[in-house]
Amino acid sequence: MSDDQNAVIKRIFCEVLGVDESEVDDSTSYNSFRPWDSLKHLQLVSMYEDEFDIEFEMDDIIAMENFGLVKEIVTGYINGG
Amino acid sequence: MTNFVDYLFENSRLSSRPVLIGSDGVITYTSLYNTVNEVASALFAEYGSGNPILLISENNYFFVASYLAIIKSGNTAVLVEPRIGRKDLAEIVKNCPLVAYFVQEKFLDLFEGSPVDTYTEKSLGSLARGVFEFPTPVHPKEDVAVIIFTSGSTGTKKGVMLTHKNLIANTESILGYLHLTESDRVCVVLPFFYCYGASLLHTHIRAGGSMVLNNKIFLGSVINDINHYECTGFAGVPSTYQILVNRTPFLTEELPSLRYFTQAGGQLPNKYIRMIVDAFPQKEFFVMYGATEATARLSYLPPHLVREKMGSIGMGIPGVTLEVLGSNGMPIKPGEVGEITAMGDNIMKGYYNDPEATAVAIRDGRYYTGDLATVDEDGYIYVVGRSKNIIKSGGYRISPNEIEDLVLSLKEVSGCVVVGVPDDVMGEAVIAVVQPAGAGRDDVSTKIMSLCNTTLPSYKVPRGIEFIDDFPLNSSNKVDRNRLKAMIMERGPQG
Repeated sequence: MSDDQNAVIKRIFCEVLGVDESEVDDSTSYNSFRPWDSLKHLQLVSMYEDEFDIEFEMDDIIAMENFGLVKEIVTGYINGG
Repeated sequence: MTNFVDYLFENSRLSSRPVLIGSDGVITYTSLYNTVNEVASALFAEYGSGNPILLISENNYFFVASYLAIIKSGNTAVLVEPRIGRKDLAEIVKNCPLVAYFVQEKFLDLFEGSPVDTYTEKSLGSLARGVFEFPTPVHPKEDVAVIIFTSGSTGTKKGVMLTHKNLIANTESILGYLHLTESDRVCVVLPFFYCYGASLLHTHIRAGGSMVLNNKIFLGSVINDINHYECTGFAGVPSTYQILVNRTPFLTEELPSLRYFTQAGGQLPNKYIRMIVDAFPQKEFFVMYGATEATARLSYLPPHLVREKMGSIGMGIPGVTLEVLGSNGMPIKPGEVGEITAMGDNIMKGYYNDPEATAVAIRDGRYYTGDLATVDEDGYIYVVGRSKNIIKSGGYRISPNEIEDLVLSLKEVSGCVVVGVPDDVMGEAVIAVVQPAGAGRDDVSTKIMSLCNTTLPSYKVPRGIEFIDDFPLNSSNKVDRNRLKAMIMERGPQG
């Protein structure tokens, strides 16, 4: 994955959740990070799909449980995985 | 003198059957009942009865045990959504003489410093110090078991006070048409702090059934849960079904264990109802209608009529007199439009500390819902609009005023009107229509979004910002919200 892609993934993540980039790292997890709720998650999914012109499978939407996994899964789709 | 909790467990307190299934494992009736009694007796010993106690938690064992223990102890459970903004929470804490706080650890940061007498999922056990009999004198008609805070049209949160009698009456009525038994198991995605979610909790405990708690990151996971745990029922608000239809393979699933769906919390567009009943012809689909002020439920449409009476909310449930009244106070004729009103033992005692608002909502023992409706020749009711300025998004009631006031606090904004437009996922999407004070619209958008994101719970954050030079006005020179809404819808999603 390229640094540029990672930067875009993080920017979108922080914009949707309304948080500062310094508050987010790979271990930031859905279960313990209060700004990340199921509604925000749905918006995140739509934003990534629009931005990168991809469409997630349902199991992958469920699997994005921390920011590290979000990056990994989104990148997999961008690279045709 | 029946306490609502005693009523709930009347037939099942000795049962070894499961009541809750979720990330906390499987909890049986006996185990839950014992914990509830132990915590309740500790609360009674510590705080007596008749006091408000706050509860903030997601759906889990902690919520259920705390909620029932507070009510059983003769105190009042004050339910607040975990997505609440700090300002709203501070307001509630200021106005409510809370004697204790039950807070899921994840949400402790909503408070500045930990208030005294705070219990989390870790300290719940320390309250359970053995069961002993204690008197919980309740007057079911008078004593308030629960206060649920909900958005009013002015933006101020209103506390809906529900008595033990209200809760018992509505639970009985719902069981009267859903016919739940101990073999029923519902997959729960609706929060218990919300009246519809709470009604699932109440009816299933009373029936001796069980609940699978799904708090997962994405709603699509319910398909697995329903199949894996062999659920017989599923309950959702419009956005629940819209997300399932639009974003998951829901319609192609068989869901063999499932007997019925229920839907309330706003109008699910007919096309979705049709898609679901076509995909699952053997399952029952209950369209229902209600309000927090009515404990939860007011009406339902019998599932065999769902095609014939498409779009109708049905008629009053057992024990509720539901009438659509015209401006002359008389029931309307078919085709006319009036306001839906309700009478029954499920109608709230009133709004907490707000006799004026109570006097507006309840007149002559009749609750005025603020929803406008028509009836057909057979008496079936169809909601056509709202007389109150409220947006319904994702099952939440949202006051446009609150968001408008916030956006208007920016010096870059000279006017702001917030409207709800139909949305495939949320039911209605919140759109802020903004009259900028100067140039530089991109900057203004960013500022508005950043302010809303940091101040408002996520469901209130506008999904879009539209700019306008002049607002359309009505004959009394107020912004014509309906015309504005039509203009925004005409512009389409790209503005």
